[in-house]
Amino acid sequence: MAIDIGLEAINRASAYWMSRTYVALDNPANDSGSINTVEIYLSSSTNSVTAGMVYLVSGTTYKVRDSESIGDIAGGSKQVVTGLDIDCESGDLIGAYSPNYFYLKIDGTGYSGVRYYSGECIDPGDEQPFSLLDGDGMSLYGTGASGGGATEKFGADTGAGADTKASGSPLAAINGSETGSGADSLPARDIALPESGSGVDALVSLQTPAAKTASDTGYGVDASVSLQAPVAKTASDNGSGVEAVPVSGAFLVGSDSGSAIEAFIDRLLAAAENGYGAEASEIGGGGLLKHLFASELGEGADGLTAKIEIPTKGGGMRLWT
Amino acid sequence: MPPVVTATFNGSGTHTKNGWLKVRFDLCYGQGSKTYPLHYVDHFDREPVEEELADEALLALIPTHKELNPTICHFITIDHETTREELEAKVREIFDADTLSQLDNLLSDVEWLDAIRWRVKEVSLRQVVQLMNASAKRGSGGIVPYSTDTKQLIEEVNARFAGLEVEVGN
Repeated sequence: MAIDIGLEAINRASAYWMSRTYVALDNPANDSGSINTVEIYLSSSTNSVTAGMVYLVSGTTYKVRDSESIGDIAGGSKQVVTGLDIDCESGDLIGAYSPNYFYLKIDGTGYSGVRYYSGECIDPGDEQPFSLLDGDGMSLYGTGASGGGATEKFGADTGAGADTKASGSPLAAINGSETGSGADSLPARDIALPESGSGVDALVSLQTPAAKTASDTGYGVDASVSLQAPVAKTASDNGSGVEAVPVSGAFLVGSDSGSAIEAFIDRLLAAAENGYGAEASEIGGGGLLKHLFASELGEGADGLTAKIEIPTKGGGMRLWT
Repeated sequence: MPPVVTATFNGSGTHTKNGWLKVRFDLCYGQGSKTYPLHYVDHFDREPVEEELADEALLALIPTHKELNPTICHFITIDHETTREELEAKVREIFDADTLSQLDNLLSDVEWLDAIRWRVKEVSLRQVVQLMNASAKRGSGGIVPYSTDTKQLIEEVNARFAGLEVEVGN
């Protein structure tokens, strides 16, 4: 969007001549951006002109937002100065200053007026009370373009409007305590282990899984990642959820009862164990032999497979047939 | 024969802005151009005194002569080590024949408010702004080193380019 500020630079009925800083009250900037062209009409050549953007602080006090030196300007015809870069915010007024006689063309009636300061108030940050020349309009006009460069943002900024878009390119470094939001959460973030991550952050963390120790419970994507690097489990771990799946084998001591999925995995059962439920089924399928001693009776599947009976008749030992 | 157009280095405009060094060239269109009549204007033969400045009737009595004003003043960003030859080449590149023709046409596209007052039509002015503020026309250069004495740099630059006048568009 094009920005314009001030009144058109035409030959007007009269002219100022005193060295002052003048600010035009007519036609404030219609948008924020950068003024790149200034048009000015002087009755006579004027030295060392500086043009700037000014805004009202309070009462009659005005402050300079930005300005740029445009040098000596010829009088007697409209002068167009291009290649400038003066920051401007919506509502700003255009002003100018010359340290010598300043022959700015004006009309004395029919306009919003001109504010002046009897001295220099045109460098960025300058702030002074201005007097009013009621009804005046002066030939100073600026044009430019809306917007500007990307605003440098810090991790604590949440971003809003155009800023959120602009911050997408330079990645925001986010500390562990920050959750991130908006555009900040889009680019690749370095996540430290203490960070929980959320949304896109969580997705990114899939590419660099967090190292987990056996004591971590894991949840969400972390739990999924842990599938790729199974957790070594000790006999005292019960295992649960997805962690239980990749367990290569739980070694149960005689006192362990075993349950659920652990029972499917290759368990070494001590002689004192009876086995039941799925264990018995596994043995029955022939996958694993359970060693039964003579004193054991066996039951269920155990009884079906490898039960040995001591002969009670005949001589010597022979198999029952 | 096309009008002579000169781009003249104007040291009064040399300055730094946000660390960038900028120099000004004034583009003057000679006789035969469309903008020449608009900028060939009266100038006082001498500086008026304050009594004359405060009284327009007295001011009108001061003798005058004709001078050619620039049609446009343009700032170019340059490197602080840019040579005179490099800047001259850059000026020729910026003010090529096509650009000069466009500027002459656009800045002479005026409407008269009365017998002595004219304005360039807004639509044409917008095209001028667009044409001259394109990145290719604004020049480029490195940031002036932080430790540089800006005032001294400006003096050096003005001395380096003093009197540089480039006949452009041919």
